[in-house]
This record gives sequence, structure tokens and C-alpha cells, in this order.
Amino acid sequence: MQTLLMALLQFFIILGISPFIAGLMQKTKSLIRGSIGPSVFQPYFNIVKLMKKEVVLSNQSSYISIIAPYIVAVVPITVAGFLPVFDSNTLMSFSGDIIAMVYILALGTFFLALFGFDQGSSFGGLGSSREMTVASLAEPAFIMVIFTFALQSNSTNISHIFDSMRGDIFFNYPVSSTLALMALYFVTLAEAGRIPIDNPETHLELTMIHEAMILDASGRNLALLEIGSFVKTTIFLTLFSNIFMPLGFYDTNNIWTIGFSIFIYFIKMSTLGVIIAIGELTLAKLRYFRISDAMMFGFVLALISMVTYRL
Amino acid sequence: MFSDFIELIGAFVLVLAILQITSDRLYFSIKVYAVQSFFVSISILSIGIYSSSFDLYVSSFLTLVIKTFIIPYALFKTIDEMKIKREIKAFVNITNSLLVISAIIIFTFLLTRYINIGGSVIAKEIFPISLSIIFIGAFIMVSRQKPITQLIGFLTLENGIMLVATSVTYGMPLIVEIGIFFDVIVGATMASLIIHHINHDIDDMDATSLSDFKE
Amino acid sequence: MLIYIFLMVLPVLFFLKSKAAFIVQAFSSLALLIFSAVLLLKHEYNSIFMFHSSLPYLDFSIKLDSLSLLFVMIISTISLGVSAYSLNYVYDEDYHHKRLFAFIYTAFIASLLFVVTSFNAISFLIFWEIMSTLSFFLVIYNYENEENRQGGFLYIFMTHLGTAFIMVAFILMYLKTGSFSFENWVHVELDSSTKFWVFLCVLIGFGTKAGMFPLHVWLPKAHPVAPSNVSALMSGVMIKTAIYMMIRFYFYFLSDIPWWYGFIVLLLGSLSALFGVMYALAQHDLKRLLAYHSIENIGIILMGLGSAMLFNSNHMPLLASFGLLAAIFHTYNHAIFKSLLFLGSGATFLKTHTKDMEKYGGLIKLMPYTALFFIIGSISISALPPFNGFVSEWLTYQSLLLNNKIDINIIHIFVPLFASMLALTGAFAAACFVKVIGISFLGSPRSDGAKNANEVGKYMIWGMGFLAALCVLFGLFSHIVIALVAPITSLLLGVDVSSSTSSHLFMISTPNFAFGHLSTLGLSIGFAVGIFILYILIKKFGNTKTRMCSTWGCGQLNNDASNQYTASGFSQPIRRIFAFFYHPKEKIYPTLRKKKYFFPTLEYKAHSHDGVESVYTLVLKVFVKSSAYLINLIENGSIHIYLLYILITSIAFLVYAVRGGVN
Repeated sequence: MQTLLMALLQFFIILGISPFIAGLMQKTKSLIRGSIGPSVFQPYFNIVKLMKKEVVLSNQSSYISIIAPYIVAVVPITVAGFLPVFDSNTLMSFSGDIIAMVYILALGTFFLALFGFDQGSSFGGLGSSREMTVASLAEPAFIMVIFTFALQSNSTNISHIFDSMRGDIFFNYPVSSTLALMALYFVTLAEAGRIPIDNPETHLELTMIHEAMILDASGRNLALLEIGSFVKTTIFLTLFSNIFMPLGFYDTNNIWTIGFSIFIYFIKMSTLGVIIAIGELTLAKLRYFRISDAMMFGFVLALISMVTYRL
Repeated sequence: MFSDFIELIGAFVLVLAILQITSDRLYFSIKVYAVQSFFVSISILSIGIYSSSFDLYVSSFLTLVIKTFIIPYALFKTIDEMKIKREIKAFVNITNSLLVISAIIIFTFLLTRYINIGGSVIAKEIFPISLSIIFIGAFIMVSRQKPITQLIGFLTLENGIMLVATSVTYGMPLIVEIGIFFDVIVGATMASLIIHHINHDIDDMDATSLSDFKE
Repeated sequence: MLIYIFLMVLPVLFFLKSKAAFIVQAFSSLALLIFSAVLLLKHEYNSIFMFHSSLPYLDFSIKLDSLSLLFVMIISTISLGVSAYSLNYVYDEDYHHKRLFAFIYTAFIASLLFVVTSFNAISFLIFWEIMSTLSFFLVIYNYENEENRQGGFLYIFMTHLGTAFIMVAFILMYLKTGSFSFENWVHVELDSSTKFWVFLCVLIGFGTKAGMFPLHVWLPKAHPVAPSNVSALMSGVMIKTAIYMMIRFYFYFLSDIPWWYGFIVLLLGSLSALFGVMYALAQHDLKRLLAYHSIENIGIILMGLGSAMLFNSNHMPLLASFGLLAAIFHTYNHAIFKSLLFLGSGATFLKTHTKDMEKYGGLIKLMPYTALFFIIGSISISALPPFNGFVSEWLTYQSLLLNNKIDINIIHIFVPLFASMLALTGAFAAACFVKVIGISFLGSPRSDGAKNANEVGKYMIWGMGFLAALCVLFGLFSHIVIALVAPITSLLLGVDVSSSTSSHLFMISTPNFAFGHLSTLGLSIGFAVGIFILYILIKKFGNTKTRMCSTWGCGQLNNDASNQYTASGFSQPIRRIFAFFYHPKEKIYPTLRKKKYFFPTLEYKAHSHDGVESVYTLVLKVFVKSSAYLINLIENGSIHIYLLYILITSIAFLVYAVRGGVN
């Protein structure tokens, strides 16, 4: 019973924190640019606001437009059930491992791309094409990173990886782990659609990737798609901070230590969010056909990490 | 633990060498080279502290001064004076170059499994890492069109040699190292001069035009 | 036993009444399916039927062991779906000589069944040839088309090339064992050179039939031109018979194989997978696209097979059984979803009268059932959870990951590389099917043919629906398939795979449960609960109103279908990024010279052709010109090339020095 409660708690922490991370990134960027910017809680208000608006759909659209937003939202939410915040007992850990996680996330991307096509407009297909290309190119590096960590911890089960990385695996293989984390950073940027891969703020047809697909979405559909993208970003940051670089405080002895663990998790996620936001400000978005170079660079990093670990 | 640290520094040098491949701007390449040299000098310094050898302090200092500041500065100046176009032209595009690089890395790592270095080695993994850097430098020389990028390839290669020399064998004798530094400086200067002349004589910054001279 | 043979040949007898033939075929397939499943699950097999003829060497022997039974199951599953589909399809398409078609069709299925049950080399070859010839006739059934004849002739040429290699392998085995009966070939002791030649001939011979890279050239030519129900059978089932014989040879006949046999299979598998999917992405002929996906999936099957061979040669039977499970599971899955997709493409072809994807669009509203089944098949083939393709691909990943337990440096470094190639393959497959669904089923119709489409007949829907249901069923309840595969692994490797991989209810796992496990049922329950809660929340607190209006046209009023993204536009980024691979020829030119400057109408053409195919045609030219070419290549006077020589030479010396150092 207690494990179930803890698992639920972790699940809801990840869900609850995700709009905040998005808000925090936005706020950081605004502050550094010299403007005040919207409140860090603005994404929560946005979701509530969008939920209350009616949906406008094209008369060319089909039932894909109705079900796709639900799937896009529910897929990262399910994956959030895999991830530990402070304890290795998670809600969904019985039903899949880290390889399955990659493919579950791909299911969301698949339906998001279909949603782009469903309106019959010119932007949707453009966005889908770009998104699928970027997602495909990020995949090999992602699997390579996952293989490295899976071999180091001798398991693909996320909870097991969490447990053994929390030991001293990270310090046993510092070279391999560092390079793998660098590769994972590239994958995170690609999957979460941040600068230098994709600019989440723009609506210019030359540059937008993710935004082009959801251009025709409105009301509850847009809210669901936004939830999906927030949670997905949080998932990648959690993977980064909690699974593959578990420097932090994990103790489930009593309520105070749990509280403190959650607090540390919160701090780590905020730090990562701020780092990514600062990275976004200092880098220019890559030209679309340079993205393959960036992804390939990530892949080579992952490859070196694998090679230094295995050989 | 110390070997891990040295290996990590070596890995960063390797990553920067790969970053060199991905760059398509000359300024960026030179900056990457400067940072790479900085890491090499850190690596040499830490080995110097570890083995408390004075020679290594000197060569670390020389690396820092010459490679991190003087050579990049000279290259920047050459580019500005020559008004060289800042794009890098290459025979092999970047994605394919990276594929080649991954093959090189796999190859060197596999190869070094069969080499027995012998003696006391500070960090085992440095050897394949620096061998990869040497090959990457050579690959840059082969695949890039402009003499100045070929020069950068040569300098990268030299950094790899420096890394392997210090980390595997506690450094070469100081006199040899100083000789190498002079070689590098002279090489860089000569290359700048030649570049200047090529630019002046045939109005083109492309080493492929050299093949026009064959009979 | 006799019932079996009776059921196999029964439908052929009805060919005079073509409709009856399809009905009988469907029912006999159903009976075969149920019989085989029951026999497999009750472990009652190994019955043998011999028929000695008066000619020397010519014995017909039919044996149902567990491997054969599973492949009989695969064939009958697909033929059930396809036969039901044919009941409408053949008549709607209005083929001439329906009786002839029915005869060839039923005889083809019978020959497939006999191929996987033959237990004698001679009878196997006879049925194999019958199968090849009949499928050739089916490919050129619409022989009026030039394209069909060309594809057919290439097919018959390549398949005979393969058969030649198969014969060599059989003769080598005969010379060593003195018998043509498969009984005497089991785990035969061979010296290493014979073993190598048998391995190679089997790989080339059956690899040609399976469409393995680089012997696949016939596949994208022959499969698209055949009638769709036949494409479904060929792509779904016929190329699997080659996989069947590979399993039989590499796990049953040969013993103590060196590890690099498995490595070669793994390498070729990963190359086929990547190659197939990359060319599939560039296609906009729906059936050719699916044919390239067959190459991809054969590659994935071979990857599972190769990793199982690696384990087997290192004496790890438990892990080998796991790899074999991945390969066989994917074989079954690919049969199901590939024939489903071919049937779907046939349905769209029937109603829109074109195979060009660029002329579809909006079919989901006009053909809802076909679209739904096609989407299910697409999700399966893209290996997305929770359907069946995902499960077998997950198993393949795990067996690749477990390959690291083998202590060989090359495997340690290359197997993760193959895994990332598999990841790229999976991602590209997903991209490709987003393209297929997005272009052909979503949006608005792009041609009059697509505008006037309507739903296909009910038998076609039933046929596709049956296969789509199996996609879902095998995905959610994958332990059914594991139970079916378990007798095979105990036959070939002496280990029952089901005890180690489906020890927990509704879960499949690696042999070591803690290493990784998967429950697609749990996942889909998670999805369902999540969607339900979101729906309730929106219903309670949100706004459920939906307003329909016309698509936003960026301010333009002529909002017609040509504004939509096209199939070649979709894959253009990938074509451009991997330009070294596709050698794309892209051209933009004005259609009318007159309007060159004022509002010119431009046409865009993109074409990328199969690199391997041009290799085949170029081989001769290269031979002729090689000497002159070589000299030109070596001494071209470029400083960079000379630098490259220095680099290569130094590497070569390094290798030489190292080898000297070891000695």
C-alpha cells in the first residue's frame, strides 16, 4: 500500500512539475533578455484557459484529429509512470523497460505527425515531415546511450538502472558516462524541440517544426498537445538528472527525508531548465539541414562512450 | 582515479577534434583549436603535478601560450588580412565525415586492444583516444579544400601526438618538445606565408587549383 | 496426417468454380490453422508420411515437426485472410480467366504448404520450383503491361539463380551424408570448409528468395506488379519459406558453427533493414513502398536469427532460444501486417485506379474500415506499442543487448552499432508510414479517383479485419505466440523458451527477469485509463464543443487539395541528408516555355534509383574499363589524394606492425 502511494506521489510530482519547468525556461529567457515576461505559472493558466475554449476543426479532418491529441497527451503521461523521482518503485515499471519507453514516446510522435496531416493544410504536412526527420535522426544516438547505460547497470529496467547508477557506476566509468550524457543532451534538445534544433517560440514557416504541426489545433486539442510536450520535456530532463546522472538525495525513510528528496529533485530540474534556457539564448538555431550534423555528432559521442566502456 | 581524470581530459580533446570536423566556419574552427590546446595543456600540467616533473610544467606552459594564444591569434590575423571567405569547403560533407570518424574511432579502439605498450602507463585509454585524434587530424587534411583548414588539421594532429607523448610516456625530453614547438610555429608561419602567396598569385584560396599545375 | 494432405490439396480441386475455390481455400486454411495450433500446443507432432516412387532418389516425405507446423500456421493464417479478401477482389477487379487464376492461386498455396512440410531434399526442390513457377505466373498475370513482364522475368531469373545455389548446398550435404532425407542431415558432422560452403550457398540461395540485401533487386520489381492478393501472399508468406529453410539449416542441420557465421547474418540483416527502409521512404508508389518494407523486415528477422546463431555458436542455448523467438515472432508478425497492408493497398488501388500515392488523399472518410485496418497495420509495422510488431522488435533489441555476454571484442563494438541501425530503421519506418497514412488517407482528396472512392465489399473487409485483429491480439497477448514457438526451440536447441520468457502472467521477459520485461497489456491498460481520465476531466471542466470550418489557407482563397504536402515533399529532407545514398536527381523546370517569366507553371521531378541495381548493370562496364580507370584513379595529380595515400599506407603499416607484434 505504501509503495503504491509513493509510486502515485512520484507520478504526480512529474506531471505537476512539468508546466512549471516550461514556465521557468520562459521566465529565465525573458529576464536575461531584459523583459519581465509572463509568470512562471503561466503554462498552468494557459492549459486551463485552452480547456475552456471550443475546438475549431477543418471540415477536411477526420476522427484522427479527435483521438490524436488524447494519445499525444497520454503517451508521455504513461512514460512519466516509469520514472523514479526518489524511489525505485514506480507506477508502471511492471509494464515495460527503457527500450519500450523509446518506442512508446515514438507512438506519441507518430500520432502528432498524423494530426499535422489531418487538417489538409500546407503547414501540417511540413511540420510532420520535419518532425519525423529530426526524430528519426535522434533515435540511433538515443538507443546507443541507452545501450551504454543498460550494459553498465546490466539491466534495461528503469528502476534497476536507477538503483545501480545511484551506486557508484557513474564514478566507475566517468569517461563513458560523461560522453553518454553529452550525447543525451543532444537527444534531449532534439526530442524536446529546443534551440539549436527547433525554436519553440517561432511561428515562421522557414524555421518551425513542432509548432507547424499544431498550428491548426485549438481549444482542448491544443491543451492536450501542450500537456504532451511539457511532460515530454520533463521526462527527458528527469532521465538526464535522475536516471543517468543520479547525483542527489534519495531517501525514503520517513516523511521528512522524502520531502527533502523531492525538494532536491525540484532544484535539479530547475537548474537543468535554467541551463537549457541559457543555452537557448547563447546559441542560434541551426539551419534545418545542419540538424543532421548535430545529431550525427551526438551519435559519435554516444559511440565513443560505448567504445570506451566496452573495449 | 587520476587515470580517469586524464582520460576524461583526453576524451574532451577527442570531442573537440570531432567538433572541428562539424564546423563550417573558419573562426569557429580556430576557436575550437584554441580550446582543444587548452585542454591538452591542462592534461600535461596535471601529469606534471602527478609525476612532479619540471619538464612537463614547461611544456604545459608553452602549449598554453603558443597554441592557445599565439597560433590562433596569427590565424585570425591571416584570415582578416587575406579576406578569406569564412566558409569551409570540403570534399566530404559533414555527415559523411562523421561517419568516417566513427569508423576511425572503432578501428583505433579495436586496434589498440592488440597493442601491448609495456612499461608503466598512466592512462590506458589515452592511447586509442590520441591515435583517433591523430587520424582525425589527418582526415581533416585530406578532406578539406583550403590550405588554412588543412593547417588546422595538421595542428589537431600535432595535439594528438602531444597528448599521447605526455600521457603514455611521461613526456618526451624537454629539448625535443621545444623543438616540436618551434616546428609547429615555423610550420604555421610558413603555411600562412604560402597561403598568402597562393592567394596573391592565383587569386583563389583553394588547394585543388594546385592540381592545375601538373603537366 | 492424411487429413492434412487432403486439406492442403482440397481447394485446388474446385478451380472450375472459382468462387467455390476461394471459399474452400478459406475454410481449409481455417481448419489447418486450428489443427496446427492444437497439435503444437498439445505437443503431438512429428508424424511422418512417406511415399516411395519407382524412380531412384525420388521419395516424397512429408513430416510435421514443430517448425513445419508453425510455418503451416503462418501460411494458413495469411491464406485465410487473403482468400476471404479474394472473394470480392478478384470479381471487383474483374480478372479475365477467373478459373485459371483460382487454379494457380490455390495450387500456389498448396505448394507453399508442401514446401514447409517436405522432409526430403528432392521433394523439397520439386515443390520449391512449383512454388516459384506458379508465383511467376501470378506476377505476370496482367501480362499486357510491359512493367509486369519485366518484373516477372527478373523475378524468375533471380529465383533460379537462388535455386542453383540451393542445389549446390543440397548436393554438398548429400555427398557428406549419402542421403537426401532431411532425417539423416540432422546435426551432421561436417569438416569446416564444407560447412562454410553449405553456409554460404544456403545464405545466397535462400537469401535471394527472402530478398536479403544485396540480392533483393527482384523484390521491388515483382511484388508491386502482381495482383494485390498475390503480393500479400508473396510478401507475407513466400519469402518466409526461405527464412524457414535458413532456420532449418543453421540450427538443425549444421552444428558447431563458428561465431562469425552469425555475425555475417547479423551484418547482412542490419544492412537489409536500413537499406530497405531508406528506399521505401523515397517511394510514392504504394505497393513498391511496401515491397521495400519487406526487405527491411527480412533484415530485422535476420538480425534476430544472426544473434541467435551467435549465441548458439557460443553454447548459450537459453539465450539462443530467445534470439530465435525474436526471429520467428517477427516472421509471424511480418506475415500478418505485411499482407494486411498489401490487401489495404489493393483496396485503395481498386477504388482509385492508381498506385500513385500522390493521387490519393482523404480516403479515411470514404473508406473508413480500410483506413482503420491500414492504420493498425502501419502502427504494427512501425514497431509502435502496443501492437505485435513492437513486441518482436523489442525481443530483437533485447537479444542484441544480450549478445554482449559473448566475450568477443568485435561483437562488443558492432552489435550496439547494429542496434542503433535498427533504431534508425524503426524510426524511418514510422516516418514512412506517417507519410503513407498522411498522404493517402488524411487531408482532402487529391484526384477525381480519390474523390469518387467508396468502401470495398464485405469479404474484403472481413479478410483485412481478421488480420488486423491478429495484429492487436498478438501484440496484447504475445505469450500465445511464445507458447507456439516453445516446441521449436526445444526441438532445435533443447531449451523450452516459454518457461524463461513468459513466467509471469501477461508479461514477456528476457531469460533473466530482472534484465528487462514487457507487458503490452499493462501498457494499453495504462493508455486506456489515461485517456479515460483525460476525457472525464475535459467533460467535467472543459469545453467539448467543436466547430467545423474550412481549412485555413494562409489568406489564399483557392484552397484546393494541391496546397497539401506531397509524398515526395515529405521525404525530401531525408533524401537530401542522405544524398550520398540516394543519388537523387531533382529538377525544377517550367512546363511551358512561353510563360518563363510571368507566372510560370513549374514542375518538380525527383527520382532516386536503387543503387544496388545500377551496380548489377554496371559490373560489366566496370570490368571492361577497369584498367584504364584504375590508372586514372591512382595518378590523378590531386595533392589531397596523395595525402590520402600516405594516410592509408601508414594505417596499413600500423596493422602490419601490430600483427607482427602479436606473432
